Amino acid sequence: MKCKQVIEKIDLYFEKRLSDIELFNIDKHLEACNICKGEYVEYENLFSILSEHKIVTPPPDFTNNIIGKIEEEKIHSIKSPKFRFFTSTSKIGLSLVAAGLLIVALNTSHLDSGLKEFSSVFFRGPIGISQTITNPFGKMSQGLTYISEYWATKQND
Amino acid sequence: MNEEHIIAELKKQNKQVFAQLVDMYKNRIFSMAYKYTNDYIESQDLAQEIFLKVYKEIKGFKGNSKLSTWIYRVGVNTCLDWKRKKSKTKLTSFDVLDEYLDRMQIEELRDTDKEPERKVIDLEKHKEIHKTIYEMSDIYKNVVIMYHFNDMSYEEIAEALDIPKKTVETRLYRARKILKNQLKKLDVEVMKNEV
Repeated sequence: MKCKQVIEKIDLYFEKRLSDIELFNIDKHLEACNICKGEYVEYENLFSILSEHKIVTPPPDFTNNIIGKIEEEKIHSIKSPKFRFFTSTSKIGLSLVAAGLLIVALNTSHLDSGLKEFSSVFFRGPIGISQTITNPFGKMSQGLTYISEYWATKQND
Repeated sequence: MNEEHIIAELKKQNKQVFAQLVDMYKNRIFSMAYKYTNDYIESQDLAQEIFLKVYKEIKGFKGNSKLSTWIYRVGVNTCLDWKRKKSKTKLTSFDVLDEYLDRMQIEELRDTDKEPERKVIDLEKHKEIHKTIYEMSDIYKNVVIMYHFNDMSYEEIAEALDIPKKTVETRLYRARKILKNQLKKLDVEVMKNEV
């Protein structure tokens, strides 16, 4: 075995990941080669220090603190009924605003250009919307008037 | 309780089982966090963050790897995120020796089985190893922590870091070379002082 091969496999030697034949060949080489023997000693020293390396341990209450943190987060995530009411109403409000903006956008989408024209339509837009919303009610009441008139005339007949 | 059962209980957010899991992995995860922060208090926060992530994200664990491998993966990713965030502010300077290492020094000096000179040299070597790992590039740091301190196999490291097994081997080889050279420098200094 050559020095280069020994050096390349020296860490595998300490990890005990070599075959018996490879181990035998390296041992034989180390007996005869002082350079590789020096490298071997350095790795031996390193592996020994790493295996004895003192690991830092957490404080005794570490686990309890984590469980406490989970419980704390759980409490915060459960919203009060009052808060839930506000969030639901604000959601409805936001949806209405969004719907309004969408209708305005649709009403003004036919515009080609011109800020003046846009702004005039922009202000007219909401009036148009309210008309669109109130018109059906007006028509319904008109219809009811017609029906009642029709019945009144029929009864008179 | 087998691993499948533990995972099922964790997915049900069983706090008792989770507490057992924390007890099982806290030393390894904490020591990993310490190698990133070099600060005992920050390590507590970081390790806590890792376990809270494990608790919250266990529902998404598909069981494609061992639970331990998945926990270490969450650990490494959280440590890397922490480092990224910290690099925008500041990283702990090594000029200030962490209080934990101070405590370790006292315990080491109390060890009556060793000769006083040996104790000092050993302590210096341990500090040098900690310092070198802390200052190492993340790609080397992770493999050293996982192999030497978390007793993970090459396969497990490869899976946790999502890299080929051969890359784990190469990174470990290079990382050990860095550590070995640092220890060599320290030995030279000790010899100089003795002369």
